[in-house]
Order: sequence, then C-alpha cells, then structure tokens
Amino acid sequence: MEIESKEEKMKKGMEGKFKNKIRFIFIINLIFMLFIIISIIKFYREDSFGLVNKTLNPRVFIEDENVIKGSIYDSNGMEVAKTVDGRRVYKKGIMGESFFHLIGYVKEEGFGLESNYSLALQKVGGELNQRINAIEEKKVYGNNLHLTIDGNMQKKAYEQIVQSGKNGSIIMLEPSTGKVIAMVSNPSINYDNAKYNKSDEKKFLNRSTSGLYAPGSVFKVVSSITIMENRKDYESEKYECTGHINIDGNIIKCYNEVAHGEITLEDAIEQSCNTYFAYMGNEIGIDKLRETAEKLNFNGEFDFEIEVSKSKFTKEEVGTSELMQTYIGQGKTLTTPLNMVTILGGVGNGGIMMKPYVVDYISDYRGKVVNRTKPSMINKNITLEQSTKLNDMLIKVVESGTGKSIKNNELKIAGKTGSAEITEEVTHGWFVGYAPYDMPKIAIAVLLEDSENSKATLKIVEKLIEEYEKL
Amino acid sequence: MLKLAILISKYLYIGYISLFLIFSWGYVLEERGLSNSRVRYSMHQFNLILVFNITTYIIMYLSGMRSGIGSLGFIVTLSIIMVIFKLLSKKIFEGSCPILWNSILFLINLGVIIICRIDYVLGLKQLMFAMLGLIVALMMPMILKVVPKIEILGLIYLVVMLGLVLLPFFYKESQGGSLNWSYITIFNRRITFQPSELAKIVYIFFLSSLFRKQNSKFKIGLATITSATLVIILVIQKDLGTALIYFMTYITLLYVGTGNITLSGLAIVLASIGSFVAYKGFPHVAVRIDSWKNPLSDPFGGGYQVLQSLFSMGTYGYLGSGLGQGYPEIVPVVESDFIYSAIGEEFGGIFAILLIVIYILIFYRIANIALRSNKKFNSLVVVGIGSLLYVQTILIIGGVMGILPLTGVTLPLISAGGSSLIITIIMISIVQWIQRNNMIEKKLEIEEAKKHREYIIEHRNRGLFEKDIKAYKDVVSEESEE
Ligand SMILES: [Zn+2]
Repeated sequence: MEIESKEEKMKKGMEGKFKNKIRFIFIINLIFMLFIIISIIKFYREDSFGLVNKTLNPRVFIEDENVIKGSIYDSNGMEVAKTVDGRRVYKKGIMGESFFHLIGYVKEEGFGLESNYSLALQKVGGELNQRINAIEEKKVYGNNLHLTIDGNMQKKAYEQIVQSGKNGSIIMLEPSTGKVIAMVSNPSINYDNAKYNKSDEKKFLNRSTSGLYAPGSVFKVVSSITIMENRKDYESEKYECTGHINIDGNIIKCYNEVAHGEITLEDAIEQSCNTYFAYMGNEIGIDKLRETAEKLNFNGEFDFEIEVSKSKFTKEEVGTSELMQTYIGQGKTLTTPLNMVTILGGVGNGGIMMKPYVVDYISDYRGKVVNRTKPSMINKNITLEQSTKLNDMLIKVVESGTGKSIKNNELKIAGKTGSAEITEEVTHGWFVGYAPYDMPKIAIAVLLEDSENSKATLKIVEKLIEEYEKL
Repeated sequence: MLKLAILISKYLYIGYISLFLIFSWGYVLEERGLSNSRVRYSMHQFNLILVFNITTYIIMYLSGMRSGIGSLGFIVTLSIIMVIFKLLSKKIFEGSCPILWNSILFLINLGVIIICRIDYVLGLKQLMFAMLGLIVALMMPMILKVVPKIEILGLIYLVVMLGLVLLPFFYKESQGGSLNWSYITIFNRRITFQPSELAKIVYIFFLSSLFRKQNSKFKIGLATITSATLVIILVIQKDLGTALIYFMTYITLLYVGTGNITLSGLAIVLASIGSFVAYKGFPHVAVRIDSWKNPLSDPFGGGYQVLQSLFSMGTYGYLGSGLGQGYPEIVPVVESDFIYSAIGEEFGGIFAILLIVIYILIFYRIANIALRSNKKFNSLVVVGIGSLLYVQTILIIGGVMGILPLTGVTLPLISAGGSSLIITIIMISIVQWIQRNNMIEKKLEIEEAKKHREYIIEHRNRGLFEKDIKAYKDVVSEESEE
C-alpha cells in the first residue's frame, strides 16, 4: 500500500510538472502576441501619420468627391489654398509664386503639402455630426492646415531672391523650436501656368529641400567640430598659411591666394582659410569627418513634412586631393539648404538641433484643433562647449571676417559664408547663420546659384533679418 | 445616406467583435463556477456571426456591390453553412468546446467575406474550401476511429511526412517564387496544393508519438535529425516561414515532451547561427531582412510589399475606411499573405487588434484542452497544434506590420487558400475530438464511481464485506469530493 501511494505521488508530481510546461509555453507565446499588439497600437499612435501621407501611398491621390477638402492657412490666418466649387484655388501673383514649392499640388507628379497632406485635408472631423447634417447638405468638410509660415516674410524673401536675379533658395526658421517662418525657391511658377512638362522641370524643383548643393566653405563648421574633437589643443595650435598648400603634389589655395599668416582655428573660420582646413584634414583623415557629418544628418533620412533629399557624404576611402577638398566643403559632399540651416540653427541653439516643421496644427470644420505639432529635437550631437566656441567664431566672421559687410551692432548676426565652386566659371554663394547671436531668434540660409561670391547673399541676409526684427 | 450607414457600420463591427469576446469571458467564468448567470453565452456568441453577416449584406447592398457579398444568395449560403456546422458539431463532438468552434467559425466567416470583397471568384472558392474543410472536420471522429492506435505509428508518420515534403521536387508547381507547391490529377483536373501544409499534422503526430513515453536518447536523436532534415528541405524550397514554424513546433514539443532544456536551448542557438549564415549566404533572405529593417530604404524593391501593407493598415486609422470603401487590392497578394492589412484597412485598427485577441482566445482554449487530457500523447498533439497555429499567426501578423521579417505564411483560417484552410480546420477538429474523448472518459469515470458506491452501500446494509468496506473507504471519500 505504502509503495503504491509513493509511486502515485511521483506520477502526480510528474503530471504537475508536465502541465506547468504547457502553461509556460502558452504564456511565452502570449507575451509575443501582446508585444505584437503593443507594436500595432504604437504604429497607430505614432508612426502611421508620417508614413501614410507619403506620396508613395497611392491612396493619397484618391479624392473623395463628397468631401470638401480643407484650406491651408499661414500663421496670420491668410488662406493660401482653399476649395471653391470642387476646385483647388491658390493665391495669385507674387504671393502665390512664393508659396508654390511648399504648397505644391496633387497629381501623378505631385509634391508639397497638397500631396503630402492630401489625406489629412480630406479627413472629416466630427464625422457623425457632419454626416447626419449631410443628408440635407450633401457635402462634408475636411480638416484645415495651419502653417508656421509667415506669409509676409515668405513674400519678402521671395521678392529678395527674384530681385537678385539668381536661382536659389531662402529658408528662415526659429532655431529654438524648428518652426519654419519662410521657405522659398527661385525660379518659381504661377499656379495659373503650372502645367508640368519636362522642360519646366527646373522651375518645379524645390531648391530648399530637394536641391543638392556642394556646401562650400559653410561646411567648415562641420570640419571645425571634427578638429575640436580630435586636436585637443586646437585653441593654441598654430598653422602658417602661405596662401597655398602642397601635399604630395596636391595643391589647395586660399581665396585669391591671400596668405593669412600664422593662424588658429578661430582665425581660419573668420577668414575662411582653405589651407588650414586642408592641412588639418590631412592630419585627421576622412573617417573622423564622416563620423561628424553623419551625426549631422548626412547619409541619413531627414524627417520633414514634404519631400527632402538626403545629404550625402562620401562613403568610400579617398585620396589626398579629395580628402583636402572634402574638408573645405568641395569634393563629393552634397547637401540641402534645409539641412545646413538646421545644423547652424543647432549651433545657435546651444548644440540642440530642432526638427524643422511647417505644419503648426490641424483644425476641423468647427476650428477645433485636432492635432498640434510639438517641437522636437533631432539630436544634440554638437556639445554645449562646441556650440559656444563655434558661436564665438561665427560672430567674428561677421565682425571682422568674410561677412563683415553686414556687421551691424543692432542685428547681431553670426554665421558662415561660403562660395562653392561647381565648375571653373560657376560658383554658388552661401550664407548660413542666425541672429541675434546672444539669444538667437531666427536662423537663416540663403543660397544663390552662379553668383561668384557671397556678396549678394549677404545683402539679402541683412535685409531679411532687418525685416524679421520689425515683425 | 450610404456614408452615414457605413460610418455606423464601423462602430457596429467593433461592437460585434467586442461582444464576441465578452461572451467568451462570460462562458469561461461560468465554466469555472465563478458566475452563475445561466446566460447561454455560446449560443449568443454564435448568433453574432449571423448578425455580422446581415450587417455586411445591408452595407454591400447599399453600396451597390450586388454581385459578390451584396448578393443575398451568397450571404445566405455562407450563413446556412455556419448554422448547419454548428448544429452537427454539437451532436458529433459531444462535450467539445463551443467557444473554440464559434471562434474558428467567426474567423472563417470573416475570411470568406473579406476575400469575396477583394475578389468575388476567389471568395466563392474560399467558401467552397471552407465547406469542404468543415465536412472533413465532421468526419474526423469516424476517420480517427478507423485508424488503429494512432499514437504508436511513429515510423509510418516519418515515411509519409518525408514523402509529402519531397513531393514538390517531383511534381513541381512553382507559385510566387516558392517551390513548395505540388499537384495531383483527379478526373483530369489538376489540383495544386501545398504538401508542407498537410505534413504539418503528420509531423505533430510523429513528434508526439516519439515523446509520449520515457525518452531514450535514440528517440530524441531521431526527432532532432528528422526535424533538421525537414527544415533544410523547406529552406531549399524557399518556404522560410513554414521552416520556422516546423522548427518552433519541434522546440515546443521537445521542451514539453522531454523537459530537456539544454537541448532546446542548444537548438535555438544553432538555429540563430543558421539564420545568420542564411542572411549572409542567400540573397533572397538578405533582401527580406533589409527591407524589414527599413522598408523606406527601397520603396519600390524589397520594401514594396511591407510599405504597401503599412499604408493599407494606416491610412484610415483606428476605425478603418468601412467595408468596401478602402483600396486593399493595391497591396500585393492581399488575399493571402496580406489579408490582415485588408482587414485593418476596411474594418479599422481596433477591429484588427481585437481580432488578435480572438486568436489568443483560441490558443487559450486549446491550452486548456491540453491540460485536461489524460494521455500524454493527446496532450502533446494538442500543444503541438496550438503552438504551431500560434507561431504562424505571430509570424504573419508581425510580418505584415513590419515588426518581424516577412515570411510568406498564411493567416490561419482567414487567408485565401485551400490547403491551409482545410488543414487548419482539421487540426482544430482533432483538438476537439481529443476534448470530446476527455469528456467521455470523465463521464465514464464518474459513472463507474457512482456504481461502485451504490454497490458498497447495498452490501453494507446487508452486513456483508466488512473488511472490503474499510479498504474502499478512502477511494469513496476521494470520489465524493470530485
Ligand atoms: Zn589661408
């Protein structure tokens, strides 16, 4: 009897263990399933909005005839785009042209906010209410977009670039939030004539976000960060500039072959000395610079509400010549004005790069806010110390360096000039900076194609920052 | 007016699926004796399927899709099939779990509707397959009765299984880049099917048969070598998803059957190394992994499918576009691999998430049945079937949502495709058959105990068997506690 019960106990114990294993398998699988559910909820809460509005989604182009698409307003409440009798109507004249690239339109080759927010503009807010009323009225109203863009600034920026007679781009944004105040591209086009064909392609290109340019000397800001990280005593380390440098037969010259003499990093930025950076580049190598560049959105996705081109930095090994070229912003490096103004804005903002955005909030037909964009940080890969040092240097550029033509004690502009040689004849002029330098309110990038140097660019910068101060 | 109706229907559908789950909850509470409301939950739950179909018919009729689900004939046929099966299963599988039946009927019904909405002809085919599967399910008890001692047929399973997975090498029928299709010719008609689907059941029987008793090294070795061979064959046939499902089933049954944690862990480590080698070695594997990590990096190449699937899931948000109002046909192979996106697009995100809860419910009921089985073989078969379906569901839903790398497996009971649907229904019917046997055994035990007690009481009254009474005392008291 006793032996039997013992055996039975053992059997029961085994069974209990066996059942626990089954329970364990069920629970493990349950955890996986819950993980999937949580991921799906996260997808709906966070990721889906940015994703589904991409023009890669064919549903963007499907328009519901029962829904009256919402309007697009600037930050002053001006209606930039609206629906009248089933057709989209845009601003006319200069104002319309200034907004053309940002607003865009919906078609096969569509672009801009009209395409990227086509679904959002058709989304029916307070649907049940509207549908019940619609039994009589037949139509329902989609949501509206409210932009961070200030129409007045937008128009002024566009006028400036048209006056200069050059193709190019201007972007102004708040470095502390990432709010874009103005973003224009020249040449533009009037909506009345906006019929896409291949020969007009140049006019349809949004140079601010999709134009890829050699950054030229503006890129020295990126090189400077690499130098700060890799040459511990960069502040005292001196280099003798003779106007040109020759390493293994590869020659780099300073602008007009001016000899800058004995200089440090600070002077090199102020005077935009090519040979200093070429020399340092040869000492440090390409990998460290690539590391810095990739921390500053090169070779990575740039998240923005409309189409953006990826900034590119060479991924291959380079020879001495290309190495030196890359350090002074030539070489194979390509970037967008939007990326450069984001980086310089980050420098002005104590090293914190804010994500630029143009849609402030979305409201429904009653004006109720449905979705408000919260300012968000891209990263703080520039340290506070680096940004402070860079700030000092960029102030000097305007005080006594290459940008001294806009030295102005009231506006307090800081920034970096650049002239990117594309061919022997063609040089693009850049200025990217911010103001006022003690507490930056606005960051600005101006790019003029084929403009010899940055003189015309600087004029526009001064004018626009003056205008912005008046707001 | 139509738009208003559709808007209301979105809420109704979410209501139905929520009620469906609430009724299950009520049933489980009742079963455990935690509630005593005497509501006939399982019947109400089944009726929800019919209400679901009526709503669908009205919406489809109003939106003018009258050839497909909007035709009265179709929806009535579908509903009648459901009702007949429900009634017959109650008789044939006495004591089986009604919640499990209702859940699979809900999924089959939903699958037929959404496939029909995408493609009428495919939907009709799916309806036929469903009917066929359900008929076979009803015949399963008879079939299983005929087979002698299903638990000791280990080697026969091995031969059948290898024959099945090798079949595509001889009767090739390449579909969608995979080499795992085969065909048979009956009455001059070529019928294509996936042998690896059919082999799933045989595989589970094989492993359960090996692990059912004290485990020798030989048995574990045989199971391991066979599983490895199967997985390698499936990888060669480019059926990565099924290979992974087989592997996970092996791990599960190895762990539950033998308790050998070392070996299970070792297998997982080896498999990880194997997948890494596959990632480096096979370009078609690498493409899938890369496009999973970032579908936007190659939106028209490797990332195309997942991206389109995410657009489909995401565009109309939590509530969906409403049935018939979305554009699921944009997604490639939406009727099979990406059926979950189509459901998410038209029925909405909340519905899609609650659908996963129905799958969890199914696996909960299956685990419950495994726990109640007296025979180890039966428990192992039920656990094997449950975890196989579980893994398959996780793989495909995770895949279409971009959470896991995409492996082209079907969503159990919903995706279009005869092989998968019929085999899954058969699997569930095997589980139910085991549950029915459990219940019959339990009934017999109770009856026997009752008779015994009556016998003893009778004899005690006569003053006989004084010693025997003392000996049986413990047994009686134990039984009366039951
Ligand atoms: Zn110099």
